[in-house]
Amino acid sequence: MELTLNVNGREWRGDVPGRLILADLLRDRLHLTGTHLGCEQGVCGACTVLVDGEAVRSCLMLALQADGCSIRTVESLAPDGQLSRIQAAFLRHRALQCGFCTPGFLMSITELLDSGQRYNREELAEMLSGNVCRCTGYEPILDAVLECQD
Amino acid sequence: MPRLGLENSRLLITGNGSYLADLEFEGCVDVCFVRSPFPNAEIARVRPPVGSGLSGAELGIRPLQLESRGLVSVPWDPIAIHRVRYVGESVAVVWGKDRYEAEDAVDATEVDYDRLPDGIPVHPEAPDDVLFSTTFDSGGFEEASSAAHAVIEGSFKAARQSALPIECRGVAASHDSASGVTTVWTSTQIPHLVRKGIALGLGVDEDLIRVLVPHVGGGFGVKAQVFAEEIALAALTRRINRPVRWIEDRWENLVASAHAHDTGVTMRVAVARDGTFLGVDADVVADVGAYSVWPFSASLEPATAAASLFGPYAIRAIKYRARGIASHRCPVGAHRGVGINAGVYATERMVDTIAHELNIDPFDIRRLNAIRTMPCTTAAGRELDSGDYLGLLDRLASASAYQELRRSQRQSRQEHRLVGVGIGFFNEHSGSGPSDYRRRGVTTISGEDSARVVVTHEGRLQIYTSAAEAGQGHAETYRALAGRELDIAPEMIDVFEGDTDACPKGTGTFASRGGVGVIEAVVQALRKVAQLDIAPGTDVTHVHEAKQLYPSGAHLAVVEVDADTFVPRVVRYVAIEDCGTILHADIVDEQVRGGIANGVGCALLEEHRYSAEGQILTASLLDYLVPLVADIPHVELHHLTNPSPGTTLGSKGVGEAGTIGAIAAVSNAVADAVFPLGVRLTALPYSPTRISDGMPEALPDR
Amino acid sequence: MATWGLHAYRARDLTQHDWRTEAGGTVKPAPFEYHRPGSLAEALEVIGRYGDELKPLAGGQSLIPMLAMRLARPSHLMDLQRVAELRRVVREGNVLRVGAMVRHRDMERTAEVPSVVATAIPHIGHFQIRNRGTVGGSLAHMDPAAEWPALSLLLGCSVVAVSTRGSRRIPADDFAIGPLMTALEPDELMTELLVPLPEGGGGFAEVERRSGDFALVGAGCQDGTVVVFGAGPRPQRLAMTEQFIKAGGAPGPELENIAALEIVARGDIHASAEYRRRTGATLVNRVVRQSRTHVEGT
Repeated sequence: MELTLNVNGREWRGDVPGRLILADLLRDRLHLTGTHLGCEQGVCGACTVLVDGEAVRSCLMLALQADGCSIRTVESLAPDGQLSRIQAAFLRHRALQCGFCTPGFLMSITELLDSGQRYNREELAEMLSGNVCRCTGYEPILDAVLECQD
Repeated sequence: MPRLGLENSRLLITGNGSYLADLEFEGCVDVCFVRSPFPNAEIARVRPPVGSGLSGAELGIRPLQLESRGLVSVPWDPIAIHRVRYVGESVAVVWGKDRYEAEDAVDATEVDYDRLPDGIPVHPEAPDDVLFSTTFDSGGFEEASSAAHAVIEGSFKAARQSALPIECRGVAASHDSASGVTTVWTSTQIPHLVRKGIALGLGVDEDLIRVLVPHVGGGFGVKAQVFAEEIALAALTRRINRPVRWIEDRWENLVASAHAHDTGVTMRVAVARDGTFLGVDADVVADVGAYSVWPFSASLEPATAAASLFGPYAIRAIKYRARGIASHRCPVGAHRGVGINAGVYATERMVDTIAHELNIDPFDIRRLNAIRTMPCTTAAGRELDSGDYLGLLDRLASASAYQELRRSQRQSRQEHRLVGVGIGFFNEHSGSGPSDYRRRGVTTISGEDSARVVVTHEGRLQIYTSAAEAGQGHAETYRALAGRELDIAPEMIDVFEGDTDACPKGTGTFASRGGVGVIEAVVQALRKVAQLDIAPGTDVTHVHEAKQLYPSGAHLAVVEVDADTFVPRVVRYVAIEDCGTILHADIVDEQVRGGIANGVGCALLEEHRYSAEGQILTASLLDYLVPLVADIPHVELHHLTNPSPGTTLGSKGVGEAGTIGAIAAVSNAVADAVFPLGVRLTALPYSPTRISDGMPEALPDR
Repeated sequence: MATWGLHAYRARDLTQHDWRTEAGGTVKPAPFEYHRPGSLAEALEVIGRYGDELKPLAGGQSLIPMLAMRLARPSHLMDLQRVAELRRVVREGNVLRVGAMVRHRDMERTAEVPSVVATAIPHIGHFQIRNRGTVGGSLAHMDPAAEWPALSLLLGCSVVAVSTRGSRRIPADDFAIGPLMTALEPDELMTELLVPLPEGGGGFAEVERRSGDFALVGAGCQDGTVVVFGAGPRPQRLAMTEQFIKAGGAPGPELENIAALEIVARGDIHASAEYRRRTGATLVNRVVRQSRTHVEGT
């Protein structure tokens, strides 16, 4: 079936089977492998992307459900090689080790930062409980987000 | 992606990492495994779709077998041919042009099983299901117990758990028929051991296998085993002569990679009236699952747990028996801290139990019994290299304001709040080397670590090691070290790991060996290069035979349990660590913090469960629960730095300490919090339902 | 927490099928024919044609994992996202008409929702799930630990079910049959949830092991109605407890004992039946107290 969507500012058009999962479209057809699959059960959050500005699990969405939508993946955050504020803060706070969960965290956080709403540490912990990290113990991730809210 | 450039973290933060699933190969097919839905059955017939599947028999892999002291050697077919022994064991391999079609091929595979009755041995070679057994006796326990004020008993159980890296495993393989070389890309911590395992399974020379490690999305021990899929993909690519790849899904990861822990420890401890520990008699029983993991074997968990009992305490008499029992469950392998977690957990819960029985403060009884002289050889035969155990405890008391904590706990209890304070005091063995493995009777693991340093004609420094990075920050550590040793700028240094052709042979990354043998090999190689004036063309390799060292620590957790719902929450955490000389302060801290998060999960949340019929009940991340942001407290982290005489720089390794300390401290804190309710917790994790169900029938007035 | 993926797993567990021997090792859906109707009339025509060979797809936060694990293998899948009629929230007098495709996120931002609903919504998964998951999808999936089935029972809601044969209203109590089972006929589509707007404030509470997890057990109270969920195979109204309150009974040990007696609870790997009964009763006491505080406050 015909699918048209905008990914990171570029239009993409193609024919996809009904059963194709959005994450696989991004990874296999568009070669945007920054979107990681950590569970394909909708829990770990590694595959989080923005659909029309809202963070969603790309493993819980058919590609065809994104027809006509604008998608942003981690590759959109530093388009000209200039790290975004949150990416720079992640590096500074050492908020990643193996880096596998990082793109999902960044996209969830991007929706929160873009909303303009400010969260305290406790609220942030709640809001980010849909992303799992096994390396850092989370503390530097919270530090990085708090810094970017300032 | 064996090169770890200076820009590595920048690659990862922009989504440009190259993890296994990101690699692309011309003409590659996606592979799935057909897995058993039964825990115990004979395989009557396997019929994968013609042209896109092969049964275990058709794949023709040689069975692997392990020999070591105390181990019953049983053959392991990486793809089962005759019998399946746990849910998730593979019986066939199938493929398709993408993962969707490969799964269609799984659907189209017919397998007939003849289910086997309960009660027959898991392996005919072990009629009593004991795969591993060992005993130790220092002598003197009977005398100690007859002279004792009391002999106190306790029994504690560490849960069956998963290491759970966020990236599952994955393997790709490609065969070059001209050279006869099979290249295997795999998400592993132990490239050279994987090469060895594949060569054995295929019956070819190790030189014909090259193992490459791309970016690895976390390992935490589970990627330190050689797995069936690594051997099977190598066999398959040689058979069908095209590149193949398999990406483990989370169900497979939870059901059929390797589990950990699942160890019970029953102890009798002879004590004097003043709380002095006089002697320990312990029985360690680990459920090791259906097979010995390769290369660590069924000895890994029980032997390590037993060796860790009462580690930091001065005890004159200790005896134990440790056994690994086979079951129709996923095999048990390594997970950050391995059996040390169960050994320290059981010890520290036992110490609190003794303190309660004798009405001594848990801090005081630890201080009374802590080892005071270093170096020393313990009654259990461990040669402790260095440390300051009283210093750890005293620092813990001052950093946490321990007396004040106890005062405010008493106040909370008067307000009917369930607040508990728990200590986890431990030492752990790290960086086991050749002599350690030979002493244990293990022959499969050589135990050496190595580094090669090359000065290129452009004046760049290349460091190759036998370790394999999975997020620990090896390259950053080596760069800092090379900068100090040779005064070379970081941007002039390239680090290579995870390539069995380019990197020197060694044991890989586990048991915190990065900070022991690997770093020693790097230092020695760098110093040889310095002696040669860093001349272009210099090419130096150093192989180090480490001897295991003993990092130590003392952690304290404050936990509040909700009085209505019994949900526990860690509200404060203080850790004092001693990993010897600190090589890289940021990396040491992040290893400890990450390890503590893992330990909080092990203490409060994580547990694999099976039904009575042998079906696993925790096959998703909604049922196997790992800690989320809100579950992890801020960690107040302090260091002692008593250098080890066992390494040139004095470092001892730090990858596992956080987990080991946290399981003990948090579990003791929960137990302390609910003590007034009459609840006595023994089996991890300490969940709301375990607390609630442990309450005596007659509820105390609340 | 409610509508996410693996509720499917758990709900089947509660029905005690030996489903696990069917599951595992797949993460990509089996093939199906994809339909995307542009209007309600077209949707009804499609579902009428394929009946139980078809699954309607709302937000997909529960259905897609079931498809991916191949636990659900419909021949036809009908994506409802283009059916604009299902996306509206309209207030008519004292009833809020919530379209089946309205997302949890939309409800979070709707001023008219009753306070118990506003309290409950943040417990539905994580915000990424609420960005996609829908009210109708959650109700149709009917996980016993989900919030929407419990809220609809608590507030006395009705489900509007429409087919080419006509339209009917199904009271929440009749709509929930059991885990993953509703009163919808194979050719019927849920179009709306009718939410009567309560007079006073209510109370809502649930216990999760981690933020965003399944409720181990939860409870709600509104205008004398008391509901427990996550304990048994479907949300449960506590008749004896309601009677006790109606007769002037106040929160306290007596109310807690009555609730504990009548809560139907089952055990699983996350909590024993006894835990759910005991803690459920504690939560009932808490939500009854909350609702009284609200009443006294107004």
